[in-house]
Amino acid sequence: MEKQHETPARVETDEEFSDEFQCCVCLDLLYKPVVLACGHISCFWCVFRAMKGEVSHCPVCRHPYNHFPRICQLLHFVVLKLYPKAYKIKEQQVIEQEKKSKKFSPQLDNCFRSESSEGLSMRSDLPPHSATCSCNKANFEGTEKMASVEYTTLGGICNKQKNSQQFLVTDFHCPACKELLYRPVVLNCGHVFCEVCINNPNDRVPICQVCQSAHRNGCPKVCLLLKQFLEEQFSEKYALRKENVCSIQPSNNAAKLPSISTSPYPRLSGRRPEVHIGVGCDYCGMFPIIGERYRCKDCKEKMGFDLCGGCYNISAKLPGRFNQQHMLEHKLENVGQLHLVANLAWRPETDENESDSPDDMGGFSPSASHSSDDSSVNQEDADSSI
Amino acid sequence: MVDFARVQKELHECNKDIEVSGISIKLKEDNNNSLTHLTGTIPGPLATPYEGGNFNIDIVLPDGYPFEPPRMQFATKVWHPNISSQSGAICLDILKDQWSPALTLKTALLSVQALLSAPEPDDPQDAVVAQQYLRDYQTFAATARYWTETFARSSTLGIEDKVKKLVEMGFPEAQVRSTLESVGGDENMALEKLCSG
Repeated sequence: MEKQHETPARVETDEEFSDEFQCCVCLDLLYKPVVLACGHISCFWCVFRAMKGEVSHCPVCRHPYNHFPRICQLLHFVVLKLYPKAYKIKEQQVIEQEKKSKKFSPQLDNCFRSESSEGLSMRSDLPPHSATCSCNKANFEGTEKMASVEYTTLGGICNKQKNSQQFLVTDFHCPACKELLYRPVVLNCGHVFCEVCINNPNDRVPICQVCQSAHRNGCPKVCLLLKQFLEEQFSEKYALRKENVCSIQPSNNAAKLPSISTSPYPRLSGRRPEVHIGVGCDYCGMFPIIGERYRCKDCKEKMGFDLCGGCYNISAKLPGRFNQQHMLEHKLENVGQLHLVANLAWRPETDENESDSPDDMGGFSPSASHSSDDSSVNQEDADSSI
Repeated sequence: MVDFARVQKELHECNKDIEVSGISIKLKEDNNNSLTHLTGTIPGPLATPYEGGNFNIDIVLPDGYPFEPPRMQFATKVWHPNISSQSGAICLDILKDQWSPALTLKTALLSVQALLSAPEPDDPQDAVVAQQYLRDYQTFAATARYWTETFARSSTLGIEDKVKKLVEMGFPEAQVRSTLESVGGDENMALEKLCSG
């Protein structure tokens, strides 16, 4: 944290923010942050635009992933609360861009309904983080104004004191153990758990206890930004948690899970599964969809709405990865390879030339080439790689 | 569409610690000050044949930047196994398939600078240079040093200092001035011309 106040001058922003909260891609404040399985963070659109081909790689550590994670609402809430002004400026810029491209990021639900609508418009975007956010209402209301004024000038130590008044420890409880998050990991669905709480050696794929979705991006690593934040905010409680967890569970299972799960890809005997380059599944986030793909005929959004075969069959009710207003009664159609070129909605603008020829898609082996080396990376390496 | 907000931040950040890194990035003047055409400058690494040189690198940002790598090539002639002695094209993985949007123009230029210190003759861009590097390192180093002296030697001297320096070498002042003028103020080229003429 020594670096925190070294680089105050941000273009077009009068509110300083710490380097830790800078997106490594747009070099601006993290907006609607998405945490990858390796624990590195970028903005929603930055992650989306950086995804490429059959397997995408973390911009920071090149860790492979093939599912587009949802926004981490807890982190969204933290950044918004720390830097309300800068976040609002960034929000306006992103909304402008979204209007231009006619593609919109998901609207996050408001859990602070008791608040007046004046002041910071960003409040309307505040999400419920699991079930714990709402108990923060009263506190949030009272400290908001103070925070927005004083964060522009406060130094490190003062800053910290204000923070601890501002954040309630109950907002940062793990949905599994109901205690302060210790070594937090962020799942594909954006929910946050203690590392020990999701590393059940019996499960090959961690399942989120809040939304029941499977985390298919391989073994999630500790989100260091969040860990550091918790350590500073709740130093005593965090130290206590450390003692408790270490006494119960001396070893960590992190290396046991494969870095990319093999299960989401149905192996079709006799022929190669279809690879829908540039198209992602709106439920599980698989990107690109491999195997069967179902496209909604009724969703009007430019982004479209697609499901992979597995998610189509479970007929779950989840919001899309973007702002789609998908309804259960909407009709979905199976999209074959022939329709591939016509349906490029999910594709990032930057690799428009890659998908036109189905012949390019060689034998697909999502896990074989990546799992061995990455799963052996130990925690020390992971910690130092941020 | 290039993310111009990011490019501006990059330029700001890079030019802030110019004294430390020696690396600078400037807009290209002959291009309407467009943010997509830039010139980077890196000092030759110490204890290499490139020491003392200042190398200019042409940078063109593709539409997909920063999700696609910037296109970089040497504008200054340089003798190096992984850099074309003709075109200045650079053979470096992070400028191709290993690019990541978390890299910046500055980190890319730092990598190019590191490439000057650590040539990879087994994966050459310029086969002739690579051959020479592997078979006759002494000659390679001498050639690289000569090219650095000739093409990359930046002079911080003002025009009067250059005149003085050349006059001290024994050339008549009038001739020195006219020669310097004819080569655009480059003292090395002027010296070459004076010696040959």
